Amino acid sequence: MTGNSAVTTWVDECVKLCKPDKVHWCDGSDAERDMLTKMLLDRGEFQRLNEANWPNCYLYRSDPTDVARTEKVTYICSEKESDAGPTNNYLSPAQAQTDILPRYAGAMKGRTMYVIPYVMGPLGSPYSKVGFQLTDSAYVVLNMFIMARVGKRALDQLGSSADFVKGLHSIGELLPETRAICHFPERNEIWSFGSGYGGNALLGKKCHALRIASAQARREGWLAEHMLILGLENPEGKVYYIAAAFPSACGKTNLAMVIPPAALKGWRTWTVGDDIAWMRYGKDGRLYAINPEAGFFGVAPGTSAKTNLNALKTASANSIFTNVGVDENQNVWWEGLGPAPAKLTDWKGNPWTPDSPEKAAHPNSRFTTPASQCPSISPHWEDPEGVPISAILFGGRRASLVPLVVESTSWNNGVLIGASMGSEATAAATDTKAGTIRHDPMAMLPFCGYHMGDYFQHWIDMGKKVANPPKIYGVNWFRQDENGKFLWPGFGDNVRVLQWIIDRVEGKGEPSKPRLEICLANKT
Amino acid sequence: MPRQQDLNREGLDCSGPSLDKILTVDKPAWKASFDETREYFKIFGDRFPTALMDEVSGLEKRLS
Repeated sequence: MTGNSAVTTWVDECVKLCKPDKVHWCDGSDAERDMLTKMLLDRGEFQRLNEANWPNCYLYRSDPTDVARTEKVTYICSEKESDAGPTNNYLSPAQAQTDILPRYAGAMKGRTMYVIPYVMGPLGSPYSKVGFQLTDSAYVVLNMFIMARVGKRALDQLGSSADFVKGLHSIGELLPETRAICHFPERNEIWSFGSGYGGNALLGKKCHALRIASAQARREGWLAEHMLILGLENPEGKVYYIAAAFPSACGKTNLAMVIPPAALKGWRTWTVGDDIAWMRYGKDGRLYAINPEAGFFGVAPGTSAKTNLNALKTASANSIFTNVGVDENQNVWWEGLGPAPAKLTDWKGNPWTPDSPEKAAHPNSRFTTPASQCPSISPHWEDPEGVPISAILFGGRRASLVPLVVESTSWNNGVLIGASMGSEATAAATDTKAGTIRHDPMAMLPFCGYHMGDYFQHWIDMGKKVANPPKIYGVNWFRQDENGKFLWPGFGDNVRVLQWIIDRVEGKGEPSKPRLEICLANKT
Repeated sequence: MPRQQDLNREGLDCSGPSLDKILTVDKPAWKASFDETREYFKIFGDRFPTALMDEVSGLEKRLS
């Protein structure tokens, strides 16, 4: 409970609407976490995993129709339709009021409404933002416990301020046709109905930390971006931080936790975040980044000791697994983890063998795991002022044409690199044909809370605020030859490119500074 | 862009020709791709920043 009347007034309104049997204010304590975990175990929604191999870990299966974010029913409900822009689905606030809000009426009868006070960003940071998520899903509560700082600490951070994000969430009956996720950027408000999954339901993540925050950031003069934050330490012990945007399924989590290849002696990497960066200029004119999240919500399939050892180690305790396979000894399994067991239970709860046509784990299956457990977590990952960014990377997934790495010639040229980002599945024989590239500017296409044209302008404006903004680079790990084979080995070897970038930031590299135009001139 | 020798290639499993491919740009194809990008940017209408359009034009000029 709280004495903050702005909060209690809003919560009371939502209680009147949703009509829960009980209201539970989350205090974020271990006892509360244990109580909710036990409840889900008793209900059969959680399965405890093998205590030796996966201590304090649980498996959850979502509704088979509820397995990913649903962009088609994700809306930006700005006051003016023109402010949502061509890349967003629009619903007017009035329409949302008539079409969506009634779905919540009485939706929590027989249920408990959990009130989750949470902070996005480190506790005590002036750049952190408080939000409240109201939800009828205990599974969502337990995930939010990992992904954000929740409970009493959040109430303390907020104090008597009325500056908080409001999130009203109900899983309803999980019917796909009732699903809707609405954002009201001018009111800092989120409504999510009918889904219990991931970015639809963990409102602190995409809804708050990207869509609402990007609109806030534009008003307040900072950046909320779909970026990992990685520190690179050279053999002399100096650490450089980079922020990198990649579209989904392009290896952000792997790069955020990358282990340098053995040949790069003396180099170390430090993880600050794998998905979202909030960045603002400090008094010294440098761009400082915080990770607003407290955990990783990583894609499980493909994660192995070879592709991301740090992620595997992080998720090996105190974590929640959603929609992966599980064997008869309560060990989880997913495609790419290692050799398949002879039999297991698949993500739908059905028996599975390696002969099954179905996948054991859903391709979007996840682990929810505390960032603090990551072996490579930076000692500065919770610094209230954030970490200073030396370079910003924009990477797509381009099979043809786009080089391994390009240095921008100016901030605006770098913004163009970001705005031109895209993905293309296979190499075209010759030119890239229009329509084969899926554009995803700054990897923000599903996450920009306002008109993307204005968003590009905001990026331009941010470059003018200081004398020396970070250098921007374009990268592409995914070039293929004519047979569809990758030309670049990627994974740990990407650190070699980061090394070159650091050299360039330090003003090293050949004084002739080969630039894109020169490369173009060299090629007939 | 770096030249091959600017990258630390010790222990790198990427052949010289492959590295060469990904460190150079096919100029005509690059120009063609900018036509496509320009088309894409049209969806943002008059809210697409002039400074960015200038950047596209500048690059196209250098590519011709």
